[in-house]
Amino acid sequence: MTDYVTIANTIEKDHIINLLNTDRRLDGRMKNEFRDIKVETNVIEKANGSSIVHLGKTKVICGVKAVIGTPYGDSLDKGSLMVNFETSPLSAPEFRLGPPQDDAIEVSRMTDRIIRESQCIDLEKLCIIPGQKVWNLMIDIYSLDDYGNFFDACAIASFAALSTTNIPEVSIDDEENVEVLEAVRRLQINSYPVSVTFYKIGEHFVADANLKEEQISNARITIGTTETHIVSGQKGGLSGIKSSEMIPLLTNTVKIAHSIRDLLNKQIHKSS
Amino acid sequence: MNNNYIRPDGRPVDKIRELKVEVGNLDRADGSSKVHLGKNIAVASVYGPREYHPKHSAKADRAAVKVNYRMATFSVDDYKRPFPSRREKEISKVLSEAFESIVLTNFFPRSKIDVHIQIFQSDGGTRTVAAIAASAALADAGIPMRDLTGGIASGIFEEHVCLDLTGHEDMVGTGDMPILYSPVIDEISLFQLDGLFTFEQFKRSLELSINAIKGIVQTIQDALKQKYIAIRDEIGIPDDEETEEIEVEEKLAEEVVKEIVAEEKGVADGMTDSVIAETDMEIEKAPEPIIYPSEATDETTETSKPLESSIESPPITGIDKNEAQHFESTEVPRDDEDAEKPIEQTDDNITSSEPVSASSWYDSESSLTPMMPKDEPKEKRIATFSVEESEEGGEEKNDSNDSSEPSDEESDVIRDLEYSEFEEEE
Repeated sequence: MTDYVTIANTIEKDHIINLLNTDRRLDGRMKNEFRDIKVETNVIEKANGSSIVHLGKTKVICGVKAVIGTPYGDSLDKGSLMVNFETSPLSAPEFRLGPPQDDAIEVSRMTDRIIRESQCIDLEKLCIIPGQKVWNLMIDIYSLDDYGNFFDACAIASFAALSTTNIPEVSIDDEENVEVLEAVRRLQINSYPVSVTFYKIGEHFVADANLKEEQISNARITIGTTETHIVSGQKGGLSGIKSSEMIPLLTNTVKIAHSIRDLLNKQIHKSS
Repeated sequence: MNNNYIRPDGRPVDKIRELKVEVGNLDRADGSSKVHLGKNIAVASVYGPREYHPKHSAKADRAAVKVNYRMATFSVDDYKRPFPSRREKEISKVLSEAFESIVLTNFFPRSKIDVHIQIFQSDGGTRTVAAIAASAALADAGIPMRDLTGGIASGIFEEHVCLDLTGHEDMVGTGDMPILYSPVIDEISLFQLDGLFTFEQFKRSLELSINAIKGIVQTIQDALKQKYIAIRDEIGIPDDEETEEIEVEEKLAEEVVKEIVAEEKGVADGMTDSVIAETDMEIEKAPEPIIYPSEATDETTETSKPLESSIESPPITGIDKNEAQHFESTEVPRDDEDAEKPIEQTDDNITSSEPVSASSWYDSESSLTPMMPKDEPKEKRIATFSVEESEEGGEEKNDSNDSSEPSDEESDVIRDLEYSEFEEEE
């Protein structure tokens, strides 16, 4: 997950691959099985929406701030959203202070893409005065504990935070001055995007790798899906993926995403 | 899916825009290329393999491929801010990873291959255009790769799965899926997707892209060949059919030579020693030695008069393997200046310089990086790599020593420096 070279023990790698040959994994999971997902929402009062997500031992915290700003030139009647992910130095010994590294930028952009392309938020409803004032949603995610697979953890965290985000009501006077009121409205969610990341270890694909598996994996593919569509995808890692492997990966992704979606639905509703 | 849909620019759904690939367009770079795809313009250059900076982050067992994707400020409709955006950083990263899976990085431990791509005009699908440019430039630089890679984006425009979306189609459309694919090894090295795809649309996109990429890779290959065809035309070598004839004639001539030598050997046995001595001297002062790889290794003691008379340069008789290697290393820079060479020689150069194994990486920084024999075409090189590695190990050392030629004192100084550095690091 970082620029430093992690030298995973060769014996350990062989062991993991040998286990995978008999359909087992280091922590007893099946190949397509995710770690336990635990979502807490409304953890930060000052944020408009927030969440802490535990994906096994991997922990990330996400906060959403709604800020009034000017719209972009190409979408005058739409609000905007921006996702930023930082690998905080408190989450692993190898993370340094300073601007986000490429790895973190990739996670940010992937998370941004799954939220944006799934159209789970209607950006037009974030418009206050067309062409002049809109709500900008700043979604910031910080890592708390790095035990592998930030991609899926961040996707879950940002979605959980957004689905519990409250946007203040505003009043507009005759001279188009905007006043923010006490009252809030809940941000409407239109679809349930779920990201599933497969890591390629040897010739095997495992879902939701833990730290050790992530370190020894040679390729990674993240696919974001909603109930009806495939909305985002990204391949990473230093080796390729056979073209014939794509379709099976996708069918597995759809199955896993379906079960995660149910689980998230329950957890988010329960905690909010 | 309706396959008869015609898009705003008149293309059917499964056709890409006009693709033009040109290699070797930059002079200082080890390899370079320029790619036009419709209105997209990308220029790529390759430097390396070269020393890794900072040294401590070098990979002990392989080279790192660092792709740097940048867009010019005037490449888009609005002014693009000059500093690298998050998008550019992300694309640089995924392209680096993609090419690291293609390049045979274990050939160059502790070194770095820099690929710089600049987009000068963008109109949808720039990352795949950048990848095509990088692929061509890497091949032009002679970097050994497992396969040539091509890339194309497909996406959804007005509910149709379309290949190679333009900027407008990408913006209006509801899906975009760029991929990089290597046809021979059947591997997808870059895959990104955003938008709304159904399962069927996804399958169709993948299928369209992979088919199109086969054609794109062919275009890259043609461009690489074109560079050498241009050189051949410039120095006036006959085209393929004639060279084939010449090759046949050459083989016949060689056989005749062997026969004559075999006959004469018994008669002229007494002569051989003195001839060897003469040729040795000639070799030392030979400005433009000639290589016949097969003979250099096999027939080491023949004195072939017919051969001597057929070519004007000194013969290569009486040399051993090491000297042949010496020739090979000194032979490299000769390529441009051999207009007066007889046809057989230059022809030999051309045919041996398969586009994918061009020689520029070979002579750059040779003392730092292990090298592969130049004359092997790419396919052969991959297939027999493990064998060659063990065989050529010693010769490579000779090679690098010969080409850099540090005096003993110098090398001592260098060694001292290295040691002191090492101690400091410790």
